Amino acid sequence: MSSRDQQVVVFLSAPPEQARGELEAIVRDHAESRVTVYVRDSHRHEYEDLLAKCFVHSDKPKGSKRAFIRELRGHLYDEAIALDFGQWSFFPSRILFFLARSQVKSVRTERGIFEFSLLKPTTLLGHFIYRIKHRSGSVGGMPHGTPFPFLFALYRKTFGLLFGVAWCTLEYGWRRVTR
Amino acid sequence: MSQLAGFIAGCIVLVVVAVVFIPFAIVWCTILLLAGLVSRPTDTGTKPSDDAPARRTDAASIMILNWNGRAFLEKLLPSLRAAMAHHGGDHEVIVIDNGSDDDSVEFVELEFPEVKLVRHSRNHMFVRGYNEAWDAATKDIIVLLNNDMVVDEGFLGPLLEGFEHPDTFAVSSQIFLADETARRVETGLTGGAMRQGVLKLWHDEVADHLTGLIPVLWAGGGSAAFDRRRLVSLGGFDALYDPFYFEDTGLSFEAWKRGWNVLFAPESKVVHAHQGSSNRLPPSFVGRIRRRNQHLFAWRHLTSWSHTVSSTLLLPLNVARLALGNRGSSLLARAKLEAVGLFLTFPRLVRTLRARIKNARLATRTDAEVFDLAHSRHRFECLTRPAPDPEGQLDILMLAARVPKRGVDGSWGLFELIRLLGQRHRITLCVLMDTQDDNGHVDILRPLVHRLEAWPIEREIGERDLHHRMPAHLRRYYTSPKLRQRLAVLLRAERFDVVQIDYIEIASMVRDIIHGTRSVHVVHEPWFRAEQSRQIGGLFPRVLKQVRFMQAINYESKLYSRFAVVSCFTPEDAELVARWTPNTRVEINPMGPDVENITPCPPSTGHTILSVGYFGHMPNIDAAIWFVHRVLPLVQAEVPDAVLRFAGGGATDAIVALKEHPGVELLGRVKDLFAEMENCTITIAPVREGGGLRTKALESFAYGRTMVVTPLGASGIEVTDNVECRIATDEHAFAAAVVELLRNEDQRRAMENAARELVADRYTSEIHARRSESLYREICAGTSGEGIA
Repeated sequence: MSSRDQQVVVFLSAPPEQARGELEAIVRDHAESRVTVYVRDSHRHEYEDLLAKCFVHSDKPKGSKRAFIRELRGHLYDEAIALDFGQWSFFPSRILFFLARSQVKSVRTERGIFEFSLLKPTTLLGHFIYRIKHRSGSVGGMPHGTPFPFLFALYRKTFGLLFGVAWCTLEYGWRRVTR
Repeated sequence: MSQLAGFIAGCIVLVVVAVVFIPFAIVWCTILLLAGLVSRPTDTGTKPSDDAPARRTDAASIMILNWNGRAFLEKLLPSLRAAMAHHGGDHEVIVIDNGSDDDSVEFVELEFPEVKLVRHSRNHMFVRGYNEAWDAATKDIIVLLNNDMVVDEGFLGPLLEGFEHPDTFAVSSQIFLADETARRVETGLTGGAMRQGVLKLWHDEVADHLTGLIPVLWAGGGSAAFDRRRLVSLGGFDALYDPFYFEDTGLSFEAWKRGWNVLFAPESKVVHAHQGSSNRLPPSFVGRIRRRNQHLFAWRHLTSWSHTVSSTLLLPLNVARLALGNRGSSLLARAKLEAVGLFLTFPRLVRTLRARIKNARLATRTDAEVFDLAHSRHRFECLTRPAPDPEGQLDILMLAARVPKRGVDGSWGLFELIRLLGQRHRITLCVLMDTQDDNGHVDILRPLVHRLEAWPIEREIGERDLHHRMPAHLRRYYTSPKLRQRLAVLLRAERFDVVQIDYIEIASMVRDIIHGTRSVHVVHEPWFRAEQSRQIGGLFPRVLKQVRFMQAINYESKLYSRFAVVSCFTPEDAELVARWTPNTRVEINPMGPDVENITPCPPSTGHTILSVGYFGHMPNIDAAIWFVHRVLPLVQAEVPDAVLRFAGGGATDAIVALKEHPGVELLGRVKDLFAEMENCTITIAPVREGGGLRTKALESFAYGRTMVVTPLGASGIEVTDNVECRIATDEHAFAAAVVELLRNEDQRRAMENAARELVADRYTSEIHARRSESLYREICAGTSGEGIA
């Protein structure tokens, strides 16, 4: 499948222990292609040997976010690859995958590889429904196993915060009075 | 489609069940609360000392319930024969046959003629099967074994030794699974808790080194020894739980409440072919019985108001929650299981109420006391063992949120304490490792202590904290459920006389399990003080700072009150902590360097200023930036060749950027601090944030170098301006002091000598260790010094 002219972009949107094996396979399969990798800075050292032949970008904008995305969209790739093993913390990186311009977009998961296309929304929807039940780690900063983590996270960051600040102030006032 | 239909049907069942059970929950809650009023414990409660008959601990009746288990008996009975021969006591083996269809009975009669046989005409299951056979036992101790167990040769000794204490009711063995690759879902180190109205039971992991007797919530009916007289006096297994599940938990809980103890002997080992018998029954039947008995247990045994209310009023919610939360089958099947499980309790409610009232009158311990004792070897031993010898060796458990290091950051004070105490006491040290570099430091620590546990920090959020009660940093990095579980197991099973907890991060992780222990929390830097002194400009950041400060005060006040003693390094910290937590004993115990092994540097020359510290720490970053931008230019205007060197690791981008400034050098982490001290003229500590003791100041003094500090930098050290060091508040005064010391060699030399003398007299690691030691002994002896509170 690989050819000398192909341009591939990989978003290492999974923890190193899972992403390493996938990157190895991608680099092997695209030995003659131009492989661009978006990687979390703190994980870069984990793939040093594999990244030697790749063009490496941080998955986090250093300056303006708009410029960062403009640069990403400045390339038309032949294939964009993202990893999804259920970790919520890599969500921003997967958003980048959606924003990237590419002929083919594929997602590598624990169930195999599937191609994402707007013409086949059921594929993505099916995966999304599967992912709601099968996720690893916390979602939205909620502990693993929290039912409806989005709702809890939303509450925590809105009403929970307001209530918390009010309660905190009252409790502090009480402590000041009674100390 | 069928899945969707099942889901909708399941939801409908749940809604109906929830609505139907709301009135039941309210009525049942009221009845149980009223029953609580008439069943207050009376003086007729059976006290442990009242009925402690002399019992023989060298003989046991070993009872095995069997139903079509010839294949299991073929393995168990020979292993049992070997174990009895090994122990050498006067034991008997009783096989209770529950109406087996296979040739179990013939096999036992033929191959093991010494075994006593009790034959039931049909399968009475677990509870009745045993209850109808107690009379066959003639020894004082009964050992119950599942037929699918294989016992270790030495399993009887540790089990029976547990009965040497007169209050022992049961002793449980350590269980291994026959399938060694399977996760150890049962170990024998049992625990449980009421969580949101549902009783959760579990088995904790057992570390290989554990010995002695550890309290547990219940002794499993498949591999435990019981005091026969007490067992019979409690009526054996409660028929409420017939046919099985929760009968052993109920029996043990009742014993705890009567004032007897249930223990775990890790050296007594058995191997279990897990659920060898119950696997032959339909899973739905087993599941419903388990759920029914789970409810019955809570209503029958848990008599506190909070448990009563939560186990009844939350019932409709919990039925839905359990059905939605559990996985593995369709929602409809799960909803049915929960609903039927609850309906099955109805015929037994009257019996439950009667048993609850009767036994509550005889209770000598509350629910909370039982849960506390059953989950902490330390708390249990505080009651049952004499206080440690006032002059003898102590077992000290030390928990630290980071690896103590020498010559890297401010944790060297803890390192020195461990080094010195490790020479005189048995220290079990548990540290959390943050980076790969920590491995090397762990290896340095290992020979200094009796045992060392080093666990990597798991970055997993384990608390919802919906109302932001906890400082964000603690929630984000120090709430990992796995780590907390490991700490809980360590604290519950480890034998120690006193526990010292260093750093708020780990104190926060153990806050729910530490109460009632002989514990010292060493506060390196009160969080609220750090928040309060943060140098921030702008309206919004200031408001945020104030909110964070209030949050820290609220959190820390509650946290500190859970420890027996809170120890601070400086009088300022201690006074603040005592003011905000008035009911906590607060002590001052400053750390110190190992002065004897630090050779003072030769007299200083040149114009080099040294700043030592860990430059990943916010107060140090602020200090460095402030000094370079505001003070150094003033100094260099007077002394153009003045050079500032930063020695220490963890430099952030902001610190690295400082090296662009003329005359600034970044040394990074230095291997030989002596060489850097030798090459410098003075040191500085321009800190404006934070609390705690500035270890860099003590270190500098010990090396024979004077310094210029801010008042905060000198906090906790009894220095006098112009005697041991210079104290300056603003940039001009700071610069003037630096210039003066760089220029005036005589003054500097006099101050260097005075500084070294001060540290040698008052702030050595030996003094710190001695004070810590005397504090431990005081806590162990139960004597309460006044502290500053």
